Amino acid sequence: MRSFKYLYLVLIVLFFIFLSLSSWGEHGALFEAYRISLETGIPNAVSGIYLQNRLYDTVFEVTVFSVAISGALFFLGWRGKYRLDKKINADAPMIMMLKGAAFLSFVFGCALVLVGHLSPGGGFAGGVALATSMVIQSLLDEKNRLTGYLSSHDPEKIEKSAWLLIILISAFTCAGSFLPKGLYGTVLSGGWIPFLNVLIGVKVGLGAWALSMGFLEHRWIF
Amino acid sequence: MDIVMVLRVILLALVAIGLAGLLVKRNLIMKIIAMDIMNTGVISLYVLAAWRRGKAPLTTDLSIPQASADPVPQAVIVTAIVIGFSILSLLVVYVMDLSRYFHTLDTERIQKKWHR
Repeated sequence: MRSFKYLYLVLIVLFFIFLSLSSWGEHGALFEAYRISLETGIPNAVSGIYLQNRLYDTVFEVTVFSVAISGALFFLGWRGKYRLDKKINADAPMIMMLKGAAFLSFVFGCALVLVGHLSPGGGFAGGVALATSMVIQSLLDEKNRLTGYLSSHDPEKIEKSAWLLIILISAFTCAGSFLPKGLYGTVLSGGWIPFLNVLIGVKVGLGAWALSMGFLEHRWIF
Repeated sequence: MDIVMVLRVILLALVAIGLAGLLVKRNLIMKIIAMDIMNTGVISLYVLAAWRRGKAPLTTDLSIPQASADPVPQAVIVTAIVIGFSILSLLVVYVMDLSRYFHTLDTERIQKKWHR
C-alpha cells in the first residue's frame, strides 16, 4: 500500500498538467439566458432551467436528498425527537443576538423561496436558510411558536407529502400541461415554477432541520 | 495571461490536492474532508466556465436580447451542491458507525481487523 503512494502522486501531477494545458473551449452561447427567459416566462434563467427544462434531474436529485437523509438518520439511531435535552447556556445579550439571527435568517429564507424565480435564489438556498433559522431556535432554551408547532405536527409527514407533490407537479410539467405564464416579473408568473420553488424550500428546510436535530441529539457530538 | 486561465489553474490545483488527499491519507475523516475540497473545486470550475464578465443570467426586460452568463452550468451545479451536502452527512454518519465498531479511523487497521 505504501509503495503505491508515489505512483499516485506522480499520476495526479500528470493529470493536473494535462488538464491545465488542454483546450477548454471558447465561450459560445451568449444569449442563452434571454432565450430561456422567453421560453419559461421568468427572469431567473437558472430557475427556469432546473425547474422546467431539466426537471427530471431536479426530481431525482430531490429523491437522492431524501434517501440520503433517511439513511443518515437511520444510522444515527434517531427516534424522531425534535426537542433537545441540552440547550445553549449563554447570557442574555447572546441569546438576544441569536434570536435576532434566527429571525433574519427566517425572513431571508422566506424571501429567497417566494421570489426565487425573479431574483437570485430559489428553493434549495431558501430551504437551507429556513433550516438554519429553525436549528438556532431549537438550540435556545425558550418556547418557540414555529418549532413547537412544527414538532407537534410530524415534520417527516410534511416533508414526504411535499416530495409527493413535487413528483405530481413534475409529472404535469413533463406531460406538457402548463399553467398560463402570467405577467412577466410578478410573483405568480411562470406556470408551475413558484409552486415547485415553495415545495422544494419546505422539503429541503425540513430535511436539513431533521438531519441537524439527529446530529445534535446524538450523544457523541453534543 | 488571462485571468480566467489563472483562476482555472488554481481551481485545478484544488481538485488535484483533493484527489491526492483522497488517495494518500489514511484517516477516514481526512479522506472525507479531501473529498469535500475536491467537490468545491469542481463546483467552482463549473461556475468559472459559465462566467461572462460579471453578467448574471437575469433577464430584466424582454425587449432587447442581452448577453449574460451561461445559465446551464449554474443550473447543473445548484443540484450538485445539495447532493454534496447530503452525501457528506451520510458519509460522516457511516464513519461514526465504523469507528464505534473498530475503535479506529485508520483504513489499514480497519482492513486488518476486518480480515481477522
